[in-house]
Amino acid sequence: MVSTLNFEITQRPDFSMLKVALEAGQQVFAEPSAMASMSPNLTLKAGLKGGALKSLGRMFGGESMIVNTFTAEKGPGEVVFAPGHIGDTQHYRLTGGSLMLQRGAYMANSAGIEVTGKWQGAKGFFSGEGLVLLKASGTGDLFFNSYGAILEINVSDDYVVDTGYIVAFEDTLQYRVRTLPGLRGGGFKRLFFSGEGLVCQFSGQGRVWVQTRYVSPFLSWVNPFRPTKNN
Amino acid sequence: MLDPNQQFRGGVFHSSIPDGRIGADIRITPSEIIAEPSAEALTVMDPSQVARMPRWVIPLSECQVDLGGASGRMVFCRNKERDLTIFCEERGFAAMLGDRSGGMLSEQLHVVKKRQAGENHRFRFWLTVGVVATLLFGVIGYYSVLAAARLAIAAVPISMDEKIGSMAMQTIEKEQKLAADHPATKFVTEIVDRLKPHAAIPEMNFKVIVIESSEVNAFALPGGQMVVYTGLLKKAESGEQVAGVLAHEMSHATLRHGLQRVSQSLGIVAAIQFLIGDAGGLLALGSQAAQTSILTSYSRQSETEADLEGARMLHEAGLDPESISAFFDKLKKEDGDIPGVLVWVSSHPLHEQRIESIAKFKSTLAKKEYTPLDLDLATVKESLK
Repeated sequence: MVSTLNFEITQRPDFSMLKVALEAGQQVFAEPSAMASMSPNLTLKAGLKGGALKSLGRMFGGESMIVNTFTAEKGPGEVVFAPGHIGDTQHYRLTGGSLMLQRGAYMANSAGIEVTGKWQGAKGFFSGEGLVLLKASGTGDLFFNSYGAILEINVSDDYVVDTGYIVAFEDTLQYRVRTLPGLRGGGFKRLFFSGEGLVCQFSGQGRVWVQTRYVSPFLSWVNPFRPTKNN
Repeated sequence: MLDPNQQFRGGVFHSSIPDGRIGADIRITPSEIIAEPSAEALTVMDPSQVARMPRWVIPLSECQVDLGGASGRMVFCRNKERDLTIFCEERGFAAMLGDRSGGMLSEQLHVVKKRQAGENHRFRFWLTVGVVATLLFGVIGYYSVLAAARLAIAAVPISMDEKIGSMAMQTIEKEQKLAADHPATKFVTEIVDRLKPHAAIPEMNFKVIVIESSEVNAFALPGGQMVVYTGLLKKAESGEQVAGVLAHEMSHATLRHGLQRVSQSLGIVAAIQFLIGDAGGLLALGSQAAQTSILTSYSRQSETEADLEGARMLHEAGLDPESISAFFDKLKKEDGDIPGVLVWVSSHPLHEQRIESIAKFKSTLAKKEYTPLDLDLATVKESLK
C-alpha cells in the first residue's frame, strides 16, 4: 500500500522534531525510542520488520533490528518523533528508487518502504562509513536525521565529501573512496599532517545530503574537558 | 530469449520533474527507449503535477550509455543534448539495450566497464601501497619511541621518579597498613636495609610498608617506595625468599622501569597525536599513566632485567641469588592451579626461563660463601595470625 504522510518538521535545524498526522488506518514506522509524544488512540507494535535477514542488515548498518509500527487503528491521531542527538531531520520521497543512508541516520518511514543493510566491503572499511550502509527502497516517505544541520547538494558531475559528513545519497550516484585529489603527488606528508586523508568522491547525477558537524572531531574537542576517574 | 515487451523499473532525470527525478517504467522498442512515470510514483505526487507528466523518449541511435550508481551496475541512457537521462538497475536491461541496438550500445557499455575496472585497479594498487607504508611507519615509529624513551630517562633526575612514586602511592589503599614497629614491618625493613647499599643507585630513598591483605604480592614504585602484602610473608618459607622478591622489586626502581613505562606510553600517544594533530587526549592519558597498575606492570624484558639485577644485589649483599627463583618456584608448585593467589608470579615471565637465566647468571659470578639472614620469619608469621 502506498500512502503519503501528512507531516511537519519543526525546531529546525538544531533540535528538530517530526510530527506526523496519521489518517485513520494509516501507519508510520520508526526506530525504537524515537517517539516523543503521541495521541492515545494510536497503537504501537514492535517487531522485526521485513524478516530476520533484513533486520540483521539494519543492525549491521548501525540501527536497531527492531522497528516500531504506529497504527491509527481507532481514528486519526498524531505522533511526534525526535532524533537521538542534536540535529536536523530531512524528508525524502522515494518513487521507486533507493536512497543510501549513513550508519544510524534512519529515523522513520511510511508504508511502502523497506530499510535494510547493504554490504560495502573494502570501500566501506576505508571510507570510515562502516562496512554496511543502510538502503531504503520502495515508494513513500522517508525521514532521516543528521548531526548538525543538513545541506542538500545537487551533484551533476563529480563531488568530494569527507567521509564523516555524509548523511545520505541517492542510488544514482556512484561513490568511490579516494585520497583527496590535491594530495596526489603531494606525497605522504600531506596525507599524514593535513588531517584530510580519504574522501568519498561522488560521480553521476543525484543528490547528496551533508551534515554540518561530524561527531569524531567534536569528541576530540570535548575530551580534554572530561573529568578523569581517580580512586 | 529476450521478451520484446518486457518492462523495466527505473527512473528519469529531467528538469521538468519536481525534484528533478521520478521513478518510471521503461520499455525498449526497436528504435527508442521509452519511460513513463510509474503508477506508484504518481500516487505520491500532487494531482496537479500528475497531469503534466509526459512520457520521455530517447532514440536508440542517439543514446549515450554510462554505468554508475551506488551499486556500480546502474545503466544510464542520455540523449544527445544530455538533458534527459533514463536509468535502470534491473537485470536484463543492458542485454536488451544491446540486442535492440544491434550491438552498438553493448560495445559502448563494454568500453565504460573496462575504463572503470582500470580505475579501480589503479586505486586498489595505491591503497595497498598506502596501507603497507602506514603499517611500516607505525612499527618503526613504535620501536623508535620505545628506544628513545629508554635513552631519555637517563637525563631525567631521580627526583622525578620520587614525585611520580608519591603520586601513585596516594592512590593505594593504605587503611590496612601495619605500624612501623610491627614485627612484619621491622622484618622487611631490615632486609631492605641490608640490600640498600648494593643498589645500582645508592642515593635512592628506599622505603617499605606492609599492608594486610591475603594477596600474595609486592611491588616497588618509581623512586623506591615499596609495598609488601602480608599474604606474601605468610607464604614465604625463609627470609631469603622475601629478600629475593624485594631485591627483584628494588631493581625495578633502580632500573627505572616505571618511568620507562610512563614515558613510552606517553611517547607513543604523543607521536600519534603529532601525526593526527590533536593533543586533547594527551592530558587524560597523562593522569591515567600515573596510576599504579601501569607503573607496576612491566614488559617481559624489564622483568628479566630486574631478575638479573636483583640477583646481583643479593650476591653482593652476601645472599644466594637463587632466592628469587626459590620463592616463586614454591608458589608455583603449591598453588599453581589456584588462579588469583599468584598475583606476583602470574605477572612475571615464563617460569622455567627465569630459573634458568638466574642460574646461568649465578654461574658467572665469583664463588662466594653466602651468609643466611639472621631473622626470625616464624615470629613474624605468628604476629600476623
